[in-house]
Amino acid sequence: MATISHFKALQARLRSPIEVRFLLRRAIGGLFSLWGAVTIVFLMLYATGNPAEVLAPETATAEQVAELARQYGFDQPIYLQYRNFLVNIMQGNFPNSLYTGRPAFQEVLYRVPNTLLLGLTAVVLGALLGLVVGYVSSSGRSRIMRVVPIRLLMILQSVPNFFMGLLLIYFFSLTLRWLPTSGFSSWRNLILPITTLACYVAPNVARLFRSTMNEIRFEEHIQTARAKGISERAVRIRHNAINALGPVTTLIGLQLGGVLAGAVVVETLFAYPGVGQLLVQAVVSRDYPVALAAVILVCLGYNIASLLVDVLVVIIDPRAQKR
Amino acid sequence: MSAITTQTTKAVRRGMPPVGVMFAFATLGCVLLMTVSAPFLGVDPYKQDLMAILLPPSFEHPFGTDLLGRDIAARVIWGGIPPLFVGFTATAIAVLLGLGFGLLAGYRQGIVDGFLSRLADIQMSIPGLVLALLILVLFGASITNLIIVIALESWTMHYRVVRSQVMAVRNLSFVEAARLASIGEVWIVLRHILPSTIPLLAVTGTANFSQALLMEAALSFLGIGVQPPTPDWGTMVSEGQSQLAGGWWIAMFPGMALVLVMWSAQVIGDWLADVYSVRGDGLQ
Repeated sequence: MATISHFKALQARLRSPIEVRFLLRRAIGGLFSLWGAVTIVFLMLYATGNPAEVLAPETATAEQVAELARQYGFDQPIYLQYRNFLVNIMQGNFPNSLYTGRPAFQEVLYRVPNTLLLGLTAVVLGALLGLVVGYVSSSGRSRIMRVVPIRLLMILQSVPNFFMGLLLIYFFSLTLRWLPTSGFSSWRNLILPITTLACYVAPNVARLFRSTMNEIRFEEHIQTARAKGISERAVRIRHNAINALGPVTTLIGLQLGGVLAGAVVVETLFAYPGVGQLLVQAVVSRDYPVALAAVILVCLGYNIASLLVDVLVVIIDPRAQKR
Repeated sequence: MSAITTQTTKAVRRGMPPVGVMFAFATLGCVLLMTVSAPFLGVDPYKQDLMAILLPPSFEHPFGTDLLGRDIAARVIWGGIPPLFVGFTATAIAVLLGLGFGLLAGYRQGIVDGFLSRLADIQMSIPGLVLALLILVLFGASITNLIIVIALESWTMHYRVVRSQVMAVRNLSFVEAARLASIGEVWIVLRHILPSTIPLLAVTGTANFSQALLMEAALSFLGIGVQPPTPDWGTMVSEGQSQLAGGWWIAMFPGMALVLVMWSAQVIGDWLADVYSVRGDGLQ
């Protein structure tokens, strides 16, 4: 019974309406940032000198470079180039990869599901772990429960993710021989990368959840709930914990960039065929079309994800849209 | 557990910091001292000894040797130079940029604020490491470019904190009084507003330092930062990855050095945030 009523409190939250104005404002802000990001990429490409030379294979002759310049309009005035650049991006029209010869955009799109699988699972598991540890450290029965788990997580936080992954490989793959070191052939390949990324998400979530829970612990509505004679446990879960979810969700939104960066490193470390690994490969081998396509797609995904998280924050905590 | 306990307010701690923080300061100090004195210790990070390859830690080689017979201990001592140098320089530049822009936007408001804040929004809509990868591949990987990239990426966090602090302070009565006394705007900002942002910058600066360090190490690990054979913690971990089965010590010691520095920076940052009651998580 008790757990059912805990969820009713959350359900009531989910029913409160989201203001259209908030959604619009947030969406326009996101579009603007995305436009800015694309412009920055364009300006940088232009700052290197001749973009056609950058995008053409190293072995290309002067005529081939000129041909590419004409094809993508790099010989036109800069404002026309800028317009073409935006149009090409919207159509997903990038030069072919210098190595596979396939369209760069498709090369990247092909790997998006793998990265989503890795990133989403890691964020969800990391957030859950963080919430559990945060709750325990705020409301645990004994001092040991309140102090030890969160301290352990805090130590994890100062381990760089590539080193964390390496330690996991050394321990679970090389010493115990339980899990494969790299590649992507079965679900067992996912365990170590997901653990590594989740270890990045969990500590901050735990910390913020604990401090928010402690901050609102004695607010009047929570004291009222106690005064009504509801059990301490129910007060903690229904009134204290659920009210502390808003800031935690915002934090996860702020950390998405870190998660993406982490995914780049972790995918490379575990040779996992995701967008991040492709980006690093493209950068190291100077496959500019693929690198550009990956950067732009990552920016797009990142902006969509932050938009979704912001909407989620408002669903969880309707006060957030009136700031 | 009793249902009602009195709310304890966190007292502002003065005097000696707690033991853990002292320990963190000592650790950071030791690592810094070792790194700074690397050129004077007479250890050579490049000396190869093909008769002594892949030796486990011993009395002669406390951290073992790598595939080329180079002493890992010497390389760990020298390897701190790039990350710590990049970390400090990039943080200093980012703090100055964020402080300058933040003071300007917070004090002038209006168009200046609108422009700078939009710029910060755009900056934050590009994930840090991805922007760094793009810049380094287009303009080449060098220490200078690493510093520029990392500094450009982190000015926004100082900017946001400084801007909101200036907005909170600019209309308080002591600033009004200064204005009434017809003190110049520049002097008002520098003498009366700037000091209140310093505790905030101490917190964001520490956070920035560990982020910058992490970014440098990650980029070097990916092969786009410091290039071998220059000793660097991130590069060494990457070199050790391929030898993990035969020589765990190659990656372990530089990795542990990174963990030590990150850990002390974090403990110090938390303590500063506590002392000045600032939240370092960006959710002011």
